[in-house]
Amino acid sequence: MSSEPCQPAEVPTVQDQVAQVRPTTLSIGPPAGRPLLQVIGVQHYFGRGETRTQVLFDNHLEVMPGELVILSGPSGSGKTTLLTLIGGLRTLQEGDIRLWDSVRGETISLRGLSEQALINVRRRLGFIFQRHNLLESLTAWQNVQMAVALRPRPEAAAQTRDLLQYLLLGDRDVYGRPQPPRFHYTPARLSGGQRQRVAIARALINRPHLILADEPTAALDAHSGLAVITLLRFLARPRPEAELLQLLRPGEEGGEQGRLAEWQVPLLQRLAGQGGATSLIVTHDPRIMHQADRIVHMERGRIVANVVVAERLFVRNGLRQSPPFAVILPEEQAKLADELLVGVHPDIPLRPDQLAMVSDRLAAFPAGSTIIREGEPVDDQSKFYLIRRGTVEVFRRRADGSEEKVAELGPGQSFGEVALLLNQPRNATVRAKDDVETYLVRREVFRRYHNVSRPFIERILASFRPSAG
Amino acid sequence: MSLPLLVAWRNLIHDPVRFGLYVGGITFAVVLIGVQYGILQAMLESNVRLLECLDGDLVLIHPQRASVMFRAAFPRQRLEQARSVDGVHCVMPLYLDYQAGEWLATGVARPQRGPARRIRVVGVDLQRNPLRTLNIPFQDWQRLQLPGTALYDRWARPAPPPFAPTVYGPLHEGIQGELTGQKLTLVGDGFELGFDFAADGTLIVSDRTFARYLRANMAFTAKDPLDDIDLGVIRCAADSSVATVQITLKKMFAAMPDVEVLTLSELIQREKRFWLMNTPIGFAFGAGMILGFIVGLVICYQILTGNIADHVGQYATLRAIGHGPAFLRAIVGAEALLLAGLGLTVGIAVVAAVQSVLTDWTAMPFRLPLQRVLALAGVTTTMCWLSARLAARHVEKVDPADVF
Repeated sequence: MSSEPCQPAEVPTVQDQVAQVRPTTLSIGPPAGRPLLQVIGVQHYFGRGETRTQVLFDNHLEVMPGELVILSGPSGSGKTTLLTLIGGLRTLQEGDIRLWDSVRGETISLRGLSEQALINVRRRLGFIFQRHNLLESLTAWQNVQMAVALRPRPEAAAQTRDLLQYLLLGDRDVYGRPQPPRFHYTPARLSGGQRQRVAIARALINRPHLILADEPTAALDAHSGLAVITLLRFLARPRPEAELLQLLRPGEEGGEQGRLAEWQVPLLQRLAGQGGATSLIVTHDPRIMHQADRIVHMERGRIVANVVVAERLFVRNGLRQSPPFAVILPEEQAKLADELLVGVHPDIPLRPDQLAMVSDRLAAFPAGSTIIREGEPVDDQSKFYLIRRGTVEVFRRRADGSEEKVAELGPGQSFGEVALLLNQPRNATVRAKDDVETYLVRREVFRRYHNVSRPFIERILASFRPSAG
Repeated sequence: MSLPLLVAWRNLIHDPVRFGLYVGGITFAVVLIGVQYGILQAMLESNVRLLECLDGDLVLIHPQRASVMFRAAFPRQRLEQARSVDGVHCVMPLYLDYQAGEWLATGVARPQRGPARRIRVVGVDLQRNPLRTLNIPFQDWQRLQLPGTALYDRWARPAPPPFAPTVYGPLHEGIQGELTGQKLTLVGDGFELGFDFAADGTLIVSDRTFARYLRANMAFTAKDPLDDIDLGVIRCAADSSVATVQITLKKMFAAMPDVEVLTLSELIQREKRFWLMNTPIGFAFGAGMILGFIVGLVICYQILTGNIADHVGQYATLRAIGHGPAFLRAIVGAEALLLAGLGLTVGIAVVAAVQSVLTDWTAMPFRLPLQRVLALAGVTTTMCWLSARLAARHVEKVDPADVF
């Protein structure tokens, strides 16, 4: 049992970020811990009769408010179909999709929704289409006004100007050099990237609470792509200023990553406000993959991976801090960590229904309950525990039979690792100090990876001190 | 500019060639309807041109005279009775004949002389001129005092070669011809009235000449031929109300089945209605207008549905971003109204030009007053609006998922 607290490194602490976002989005966002979007057992078919083909298979997904979700997968895997179902562009056939309705202040089901209700849903979403789909006869400005017409307001003109300017369609380029504003250009006079940026402005101008984007950066150069993804990230939630300053690279250092101009910063801050917008982005663009809070991977119509990046980092770092895992081959470590993931940010407690679905790899303990007891025999079903939330206290029995508290462990720390390796009884009692959630690794699971990495394990065993855990 | 109107306008002008064809299509329909409507109205108006020249407020007519071209007269006594009513300034008898007057231009040698033709003859009391609006010079009017003379219509129906210049032969001062087999001399510079369905031309004679030439069959009866009045033209006093005088006259003649009192405009409308409802004119040109309307409807529908098909991605996008069917219908409706406006503008100009040419060719009274322009605008707008209603069904079916 490790006694040294091991804080996970590189894990973004979203508590403060979420806390920052919550006060401003409280009135429009779902209650704490509740998702903004739920995809429940969605299946979909194209065609009829003999040509009927199933394209989506029993998909489940939950997206929390303020998340930036990237939906990846090969062509034809069903990403866009799922996106159109979420956006209310297609009729749900099987399963359900539930969206938080910020106007009504409740979750609504898209299943069986009337056409008018679906229109109302679409009005609250921001859709960025892969093929931009601008109205060819209208100017860039007028195209954006087509969305403004859905929510007219006095400040819309200024916001449109700011947005188009920020997206490098105004009178300055990313290096601050003057350029002809493209506000009154028709799509025929705009490049592919410029059209795409106009389409992005149209999708974002009404500050939607959910942005659905299909390859939004595919046609964009490095600077524009960076501007778009940065805007989406800041629309999701406020970010540290240092993060923004990193993007103000000198022109010559922009390169493939692109750069943000200093004059874009105040525009970005004005446009992003206090955040609160969730983005679901279908993309193959490697430039933006690392910006995601959650990466959902689809193959052949199924969601085969649903990874909250922060959770993955949390679990990987947590396992890496424990000696039995530290010696497993890195790729095996990663696989084992991914097996534990539940798709929820470690700062957010799991609901009972979620717990029930992941009971094989995650357990919850109420405050005061005993998790393991000293002297308990171990077997193949015995588990290793990585604390996800809450605090546990570690006790050892003295010679006189009384208990002595020897440690207090928190999130990212672990206990019970000896049971993975040896058949010795538990050497301490661990109790939940408050409500605790822990990831679980059963010995049989551990051994699958241990066997692959045996040479390394043997090396560790040679220097391992049994009395330590 | 509202957004649907803006989108509609930009969609239409996006391709200038197609835009020209669109406007041309609607213009074609407008011209089709407008010309048919113009001919119909010109024909109806040519039939009442004589009535429009009457210088009076009220008219006495036999109630069974469905059209002035039929013969049904009322007794002169009614004129005297009407004259006694307060507010009546003067009462003028008018004699009309569409049936018996046959004109043969005996002053012209063959082959220029055509066959004998029926002509409308108007008999007037020379002391009370009911046709002042024809602007016949007083000296010409006085020459009718001489029996066997007539004023002639310079706008009588032209004759095809070799019979020139009218179907009655040459009509000018001093020409002699035969009216119902009796010699008649044309005097004066003539007047301008024109021909219609009932008559190819008009002669104005004094009442005495009228009685001698056209009521000769009554010479063997004890009755004075001038006692049978065809129309009684009543001019009201300047300080009296025409409506009040009409009511008084109606009350006076209520028990008398041989006369009724109409305002001049009521008589004109009744005459127009007769020609419209009881002759093929109304059907022929009414059907022509309906056909033009249907052709225009189809053209406009084709334009709108073609435009929808061209912009289906645009409509799908609008639906996908949250615009409802009403917004899309508004775009289609605005396109239809814009086409109606443009087609009407160009169409009115073309109709005016065509009517001008037709007036020169036919001497028919083609006119394009504001009232008629507004009627045409109403028909064109209705046509395009109906097309939009039909075409809007296509836009309602646009699937927002089509953006993918």
